[in-house]
Amino acid sequence: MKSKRLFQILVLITLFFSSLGGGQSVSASSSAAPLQDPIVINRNLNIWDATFIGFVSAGIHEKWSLDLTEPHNFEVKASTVAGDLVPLLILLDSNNVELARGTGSLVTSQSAGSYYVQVQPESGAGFYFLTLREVASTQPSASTVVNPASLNVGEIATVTVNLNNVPAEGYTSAEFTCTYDASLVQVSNIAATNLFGADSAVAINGPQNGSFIVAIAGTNGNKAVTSGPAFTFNVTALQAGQTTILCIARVSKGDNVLTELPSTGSTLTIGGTAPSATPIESPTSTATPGGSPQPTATTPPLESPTPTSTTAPAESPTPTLTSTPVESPTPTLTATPLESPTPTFTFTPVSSPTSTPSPDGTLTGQVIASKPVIVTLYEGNVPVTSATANPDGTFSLTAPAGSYTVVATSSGFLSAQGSATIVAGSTNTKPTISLLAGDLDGNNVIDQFDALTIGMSYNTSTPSAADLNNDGIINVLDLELLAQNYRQTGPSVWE
Amino acid sequence: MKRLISHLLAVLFALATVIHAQAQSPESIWLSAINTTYKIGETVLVAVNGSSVTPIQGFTFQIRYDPACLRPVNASSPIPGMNGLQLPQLSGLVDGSYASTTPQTVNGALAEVRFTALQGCQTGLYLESAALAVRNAEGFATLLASVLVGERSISLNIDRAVGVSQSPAPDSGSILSLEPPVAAEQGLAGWIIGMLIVLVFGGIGLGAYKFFRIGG
Repeated sequence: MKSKRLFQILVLITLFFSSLGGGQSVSASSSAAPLQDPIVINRNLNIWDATFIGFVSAGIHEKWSLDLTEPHNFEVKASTVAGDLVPLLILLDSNNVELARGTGSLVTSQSAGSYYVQVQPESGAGFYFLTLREVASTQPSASTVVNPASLNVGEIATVTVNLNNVPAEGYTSAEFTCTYDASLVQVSNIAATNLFGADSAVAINGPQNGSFIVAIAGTNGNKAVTSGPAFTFNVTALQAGQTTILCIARVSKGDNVLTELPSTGSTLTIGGTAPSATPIESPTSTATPGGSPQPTATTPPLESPTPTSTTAPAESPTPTLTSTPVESPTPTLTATPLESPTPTFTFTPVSSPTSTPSPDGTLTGQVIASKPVIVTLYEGNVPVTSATANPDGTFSLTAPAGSYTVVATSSGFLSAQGSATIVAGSTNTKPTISLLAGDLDGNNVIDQFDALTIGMSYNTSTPSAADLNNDGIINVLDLELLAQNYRQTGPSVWE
Repeated sequence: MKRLISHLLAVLFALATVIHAQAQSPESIWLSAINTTYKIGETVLVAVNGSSVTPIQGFTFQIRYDPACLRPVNASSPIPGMNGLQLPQLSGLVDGSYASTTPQTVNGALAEVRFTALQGCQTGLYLESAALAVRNAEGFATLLASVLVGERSISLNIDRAVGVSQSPAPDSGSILSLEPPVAAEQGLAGWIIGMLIVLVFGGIGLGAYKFFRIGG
């Protein structure tokens, strides 16, 4: 009897003090719990920067509901007003699954959705002030936002994946691994923004079995230096249910290291009502050739990417189309056909080979590449000697005195070629050179087929030539390296 | 009379079907467009089509255009799993490449390419090169041999009238941005600097001429 009265008094006190905080109405209700379990009082925490007063003890816990209409980085703080209370805060999702906890305060980033903050004593009991405030996060992160967050079967939502708090030095590339429930939604229209520059290189793997990967790399030195959307995609609701759409970001600052960022997802709720017919097919522009198309060309438009091919780049960088004013009835399309491939990788000795054996000399130098480098001396087209460079790219070759052609090669890189003179008894040093990454098929041009090889081999380790950074996996970092040198031809001149 | 026309039409359709089948056999790529007349601001839509009984894992196409008349916007591929590889573009040349991690049989549109009509002109699009790609035993992308390239050119008539601008965003498919490189402001700056240099040296030359002439 006495304890019941005490409880009633406590509830009355709690109600009284709560009315002071932001004018919040309190819906105190005891849960239908066994006697041993604490009573959970449901309350509302939907006003930012307001101060609420609560009371918790071993027998009374308070559960504050919180609805976020957009992603927030926020802090919930409980300060003891009276008593020996050490408050414990537990963040729960709408299904009462614990997301985070903290003693006295809780800082977290969450996407739009319904949450609860349960306050209970870690020890002691007493009154506390509770505040909810936005925290200006300075930590880089990624967030996935679905708009609208709820829709009906057949309807389409747009998902935006953002990079937040991008550091001043920027990101050269990013890789996003997105997951969703494929039985509930269908993904389409994955499109990168200009966050990494207008000419960013993009590779998409999937969607397949409820996941896909989007890799974006800036080209020509472009980086993502501001926060904002990195890419968007659409989700079409297939059946009623709820799914979390989450894209986990890994970013690179150009140092060949992918760092995972804290990433938050969004919950999409799908109702069962199907809307009236919503066509999602693409425009029907799949017409057959007009007129009577006569196949005319049988020559491959681009060079064959066989590893020993020695062709020049396919494209002509200068547009040659001209147009006439509309009054002229005659189309004046004057396109320049592709240049016929011409061999460019020819070894040209600087002088004729020496006819008599000469005392040996040494050639040293350094060739920079992220993979093993082989340096070979040629006399005419005949290899004289070769050596594998050290891990730092330095090499040393010994050969009879004379003039040679020196060639540096590395799998997946354009080769470098130059002349070398070896003087008997002395050491000649070639200037340091960096090999250009991206010539995966070894045809001395970094072209579409090299990029296609990466696209076809994404998230695998073969062919090893496509693993340009030698990290054991073919992914965005390799595409990033290729994009930097796209359309470059070899061999590079080694002065 | 009506029956005769019907028969004629039937024969024509049958012939057209045969011609069409020949054009795509066995493996081919061609360019097509439903509309060839547009107004300024409208979205010009062309399709790069392909047919292959051999499952492919990628394709590439390069379309020459007049940057004074057209501005490329994007391409999209309706083929499931075929993903765009966005690579640096050149002004005047659309450079599109798509790849898939799994082989796919294709017959129809490989990609739809969108341009914005910039000004009234008669112009055209030219499929400069195109290829279907497979993954060879070593894992490298390699072109599918003996692919016939059919229709390469499309003539377009862009009227000077301003049309209704449509959304260039495709309804579905893997989107590939084809935005051309930003016009080189450096070129303009260089031109201005060049002009200034000419003026300065011209002024010096003129001053020297007057000076020596007066002195003489």
